[in-house]
Amino acid sequence: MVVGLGAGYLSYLFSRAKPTSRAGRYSRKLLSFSSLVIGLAALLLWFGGLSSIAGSSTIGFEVYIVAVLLLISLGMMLRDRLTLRMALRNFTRRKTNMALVIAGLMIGTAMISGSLVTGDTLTELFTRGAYFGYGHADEVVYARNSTTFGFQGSAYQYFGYNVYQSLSTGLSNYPSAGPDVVGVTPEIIETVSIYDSNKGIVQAGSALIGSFSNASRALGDFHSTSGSVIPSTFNDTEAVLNDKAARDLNATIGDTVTVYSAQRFTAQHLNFTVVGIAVSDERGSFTQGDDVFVTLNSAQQFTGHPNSVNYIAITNIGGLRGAIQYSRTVALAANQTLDSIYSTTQSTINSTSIGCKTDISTVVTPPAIPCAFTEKKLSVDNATDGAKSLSQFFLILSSFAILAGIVLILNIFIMLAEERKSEMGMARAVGMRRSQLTRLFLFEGSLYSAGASIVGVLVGIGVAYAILYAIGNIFSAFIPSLNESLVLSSFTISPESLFAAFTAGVLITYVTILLTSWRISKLNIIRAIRNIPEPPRGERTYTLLLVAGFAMALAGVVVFQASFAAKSTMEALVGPSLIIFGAGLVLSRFLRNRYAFTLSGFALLVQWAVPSLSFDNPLVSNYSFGPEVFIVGGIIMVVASVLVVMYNTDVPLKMLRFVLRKRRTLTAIFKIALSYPENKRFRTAATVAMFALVLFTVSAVAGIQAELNASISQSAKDQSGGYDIATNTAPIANLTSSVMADATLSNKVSAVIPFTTILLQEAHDSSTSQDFPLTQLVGADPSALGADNFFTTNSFKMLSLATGFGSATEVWNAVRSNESYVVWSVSFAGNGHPNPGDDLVLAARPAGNPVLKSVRVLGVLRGLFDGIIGVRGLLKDSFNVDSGTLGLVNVAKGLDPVNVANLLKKDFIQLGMQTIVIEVTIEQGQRIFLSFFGLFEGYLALGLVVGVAGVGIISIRSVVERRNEIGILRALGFRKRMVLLAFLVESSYIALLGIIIGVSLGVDLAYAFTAQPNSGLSFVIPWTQIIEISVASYALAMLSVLGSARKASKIPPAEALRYTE
Amino acid sequence: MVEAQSVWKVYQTGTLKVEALRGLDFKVRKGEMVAVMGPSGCGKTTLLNCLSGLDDITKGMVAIEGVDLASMSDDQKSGFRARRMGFIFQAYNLLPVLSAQENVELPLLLAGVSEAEARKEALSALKMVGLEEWRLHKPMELSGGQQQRVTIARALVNKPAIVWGDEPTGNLDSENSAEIVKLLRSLNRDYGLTFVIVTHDSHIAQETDRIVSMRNGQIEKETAAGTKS
Repeated sequence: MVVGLGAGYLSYLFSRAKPTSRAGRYSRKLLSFSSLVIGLAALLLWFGGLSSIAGSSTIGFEVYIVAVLLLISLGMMLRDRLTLRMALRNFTRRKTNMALVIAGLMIGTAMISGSLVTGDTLTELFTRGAYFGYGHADEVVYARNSTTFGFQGSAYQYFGYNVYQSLSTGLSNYPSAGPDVVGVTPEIIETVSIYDSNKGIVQAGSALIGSFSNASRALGDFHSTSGSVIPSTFNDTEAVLNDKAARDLNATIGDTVTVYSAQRFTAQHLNFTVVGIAVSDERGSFTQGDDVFVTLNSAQQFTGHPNSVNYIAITNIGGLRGAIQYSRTVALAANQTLDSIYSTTQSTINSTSIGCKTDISTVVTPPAIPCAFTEKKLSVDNATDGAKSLSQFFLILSSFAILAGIVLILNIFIMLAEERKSEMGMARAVGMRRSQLTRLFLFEGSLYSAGASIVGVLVGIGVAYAILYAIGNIFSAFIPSLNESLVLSSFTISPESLFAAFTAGVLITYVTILLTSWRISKLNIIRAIRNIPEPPRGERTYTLLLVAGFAMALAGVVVFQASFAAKSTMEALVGPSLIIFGAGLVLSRFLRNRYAFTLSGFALLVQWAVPSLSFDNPLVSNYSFGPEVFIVGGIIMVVASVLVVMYNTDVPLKMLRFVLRKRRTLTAIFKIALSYPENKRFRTAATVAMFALVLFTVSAVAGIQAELNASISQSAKDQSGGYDIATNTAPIANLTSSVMADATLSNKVSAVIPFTTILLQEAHDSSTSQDFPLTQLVGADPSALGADNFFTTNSFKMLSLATGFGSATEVWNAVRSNESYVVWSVSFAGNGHPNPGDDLVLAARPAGNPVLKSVRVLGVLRGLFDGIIGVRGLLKDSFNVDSGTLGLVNVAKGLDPVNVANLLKKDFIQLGMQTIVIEVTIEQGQRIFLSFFGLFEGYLALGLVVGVAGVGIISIRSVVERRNEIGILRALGFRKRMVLLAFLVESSYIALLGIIIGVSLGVDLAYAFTAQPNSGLSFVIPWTQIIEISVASYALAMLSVLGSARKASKIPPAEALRYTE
Repeated sequence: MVEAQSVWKVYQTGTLKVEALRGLDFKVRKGEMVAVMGPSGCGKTTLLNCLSGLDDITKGMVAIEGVDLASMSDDQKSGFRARRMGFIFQAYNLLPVLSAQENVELPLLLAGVSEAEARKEALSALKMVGLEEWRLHKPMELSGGQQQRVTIARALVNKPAIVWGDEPTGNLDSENSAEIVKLLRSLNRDYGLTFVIVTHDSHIAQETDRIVSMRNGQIEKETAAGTKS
């Protein structure tokens, strides 16, 4: 009340005050802050409550801020029409200039827009696989089989048909979920090998799917490639293949296919006539693999489980995509129904009573009874998360280009200000206020900002399409079923993404222009009119820098101190950088700027460019580490390098002078050309930094890609453990004797190492209390002879060993001799694993009864699969498992493992043998990974546009700025070619500095990548690529300069001398 | 030294044709100091630009030291300017990014003189105009008079056959103007340098050997300096 009355009284006083009085002056002063006050009030309003009403999303906030900025700008424009008119005229003053400025400003928005639209498209691409993979099976009911599992298809336990009937009835009567359910479909799904007798081709790891003909009502129809419906009323000797299986088998309608079980060791097989080939749509694709659809009766006969099923699909209302919103409710109802059918079982770990999970947010640790899982929803969610992560990664990669774009905006507006310096001085002299000058630039900047953001959003769509095209190329090169057109058909643009990119672009540009305008408005009228340079900074400025330096150093200490508790790499490394930078500011009070900033720049460079002091610093080895560390590190290194170089430009100049001492005309050209960058230090530093930032990222990615590429063969060898082929079969007790007895394979196989296998319910790490659900435990024979002994022949590399063990051999010897010792294997894609020395509790239900076994992890290796390796005795004695599905095979010297793998598949089709040629598969996976690096590199190279635009704009402005000086040079005897050369040399100097700094730092980062412990990489400099990148960047920069330089050289000297802007 | 016969210079600005020089004849003897005077827009600067080869003429002939400028290519003209001419402009027209010494060195470097030699000559020229102490200063750090002295040093450093001055004292106060004129005159007398100076200032004109008065792109009359026009 008191504040309100006070404010009211003050308003009254101010409104009545004479303009020349003190109150009048204060009133005007306050009024000039009104935009700021409104902006702050709007922010307070948002955080004070509006966000909870409007939703606290980032996009909501962006929209709100842009709307507020728009309203404030409109308000300012209406209040100050003269300034608006001047801004509009400045905006349209030079059309080419306007186009160039917009081109430069739009890059940041284009990168954001490109990243977000890529996210939309990848979400569509990835989720389409998830939607089609499960089709209308919105929730699925099964119980996983612990002793049988395949490479692709999971093995499920069989249960009575009555379970399906009870579930169907129970669900339809369930009050909360009944109305959401369209149908419940009983099925049999089993991993099989298919043999097309007409074509003689075997396809292992396929899925046999048996269902009633009326399943189409809930799960949808099969469709042929022409779009027609394939009748699902086929008989027990007929089958429908999906197009993927047909392609792999080269099968056509009318072929006879023989199906063998991959889950049971049996000679039983069934023949089917192919009556249809279904496209892989929501019905024709199960987990996107090779599928053969048969009647439920045939499947029951084939598997030997009459009146049983092993899989129930529940279909919700809402259609293919809308149904998952009901998944939670329906799955909960299904699980409660299933719990009522089965008696509850004991938890293996903590002996609590459990049935089907009431929390269905996860599919892990399924109990022994069939339960409902929301796998489709999870798959869609995972796909969305994956797409978002990739999109986020693109956005992170963009950050350098966006930052370079911000520097470009700064540069452009400072140049515009320099160009208009004298007219601004005149405007101020005739009475224009400083705030009006700020507004003049702000209005003009707003127009640029809006124009550039619109163009940027549209360019971003093109960028996203190019990314998708590249992804399509990558996928189709490795995955035949995923062709380019299929990928491109996923191209999706959501209005939200476009709007988010637009608002982000407007905000970044607007804020940058606001700060620049404020800085520009602080000009000295006389110096502006007479175009006199700013005097050197006074003592007061350096005292302020001293205080700022101390504050920064103190902040650095605090940040570094905080890193110990937060275990954050970012804080641990940025803290010292702040201290160093602060020290530089402090030193500038006492030393010449050159010494102070060279020293601090050099120290920062050493801190970040020496890997053992930064990225590979032992202090941060156990700290959290994200890509943001590389971003911040990169920016600091670039800034430090630019500081060092810009304060020591005379060094390269002296060197050049020495080199050119015999070429006198060139000396004159170089003297002129290099004097400008030296005199326009900020402009030059900003342009060099732009170039360096972009080149840094491109060459770092190129370096890392080259290192990974060079390590592929070795890495594949290391991960193969020295074996050629991995096999997966129905559980078998002695694979070795079976393979060795095969006449076709005689002299072709040199070693066979069978493993007994079990799928653990979970492995519980007693040391860290971490759970590893659905972990595979495999056991090898410790006393196998010669080449067949896994423990003595494998060459897997240990990532880490338990204390007391000095080598992998010592670990394997210990595991061989003690059932309670194991080694943890982590695959290329796997991440989490226990630490060596940790004790694990292994939990399984081999025969329905819970069994627990304690073991100790002696080592962690990088291998083929995620799981645990022990001895056969561990599986036999603890879990009563004496057969297995996994085998490792070595082929005879000089033979191609691919041919031997095909023979194995064919000869052991009764075992449903699937084979993996280890090195080929690992290499292929790594090459896909590497192809993405190429894509990232290309995406980053888009940032070059910023650098090139920067050099081009500076050059064009320089020609205008120096028209008179060109006249002087021509009068003094400079030839046309010399003027052209002077401009090219000047731009070359800037571009080359940026290229050299960027490439050197990029290579340094690539080196840091290899220096990390266990990186398994050796340092490689991709010279060809780096030369290509550098030459292309340089050539583009020169191309952008050439036009203006030629124009400069052609200006008639008399006209140039007459010219005043 | 300089001979111009029936010189025409026509500027075409859109549909507008401006005849800046209209059949003008003009001669300058070696070692002569000539002032060109006349009202604004009469074609003084255009005449200077055309005579010095900075601008092309539309019709007629200009010869310097017996060489017809029309027979020279642009590069040859540039080379000729670097070796044989010096320029002094009203707005000084120094290169702002170079120091006084570097500005003076520039014509020598263009003429192919070694850097060390150029530095020596530049210092000597600066000494001649009394600015040796200011050699490391950039133009913006010098006063108007000092800047014009640097321009004069630059114009003289390559020992030109002729020096062209376009309002050399236009931006200076009377005291500085007088000093500059004195300097130019002494250089003319002591070194026999030829000067053609475009000026509005009758005091400067009176210091020269001959005054050429222009009107509407033509020479109205020529008088010996010191006589009343």
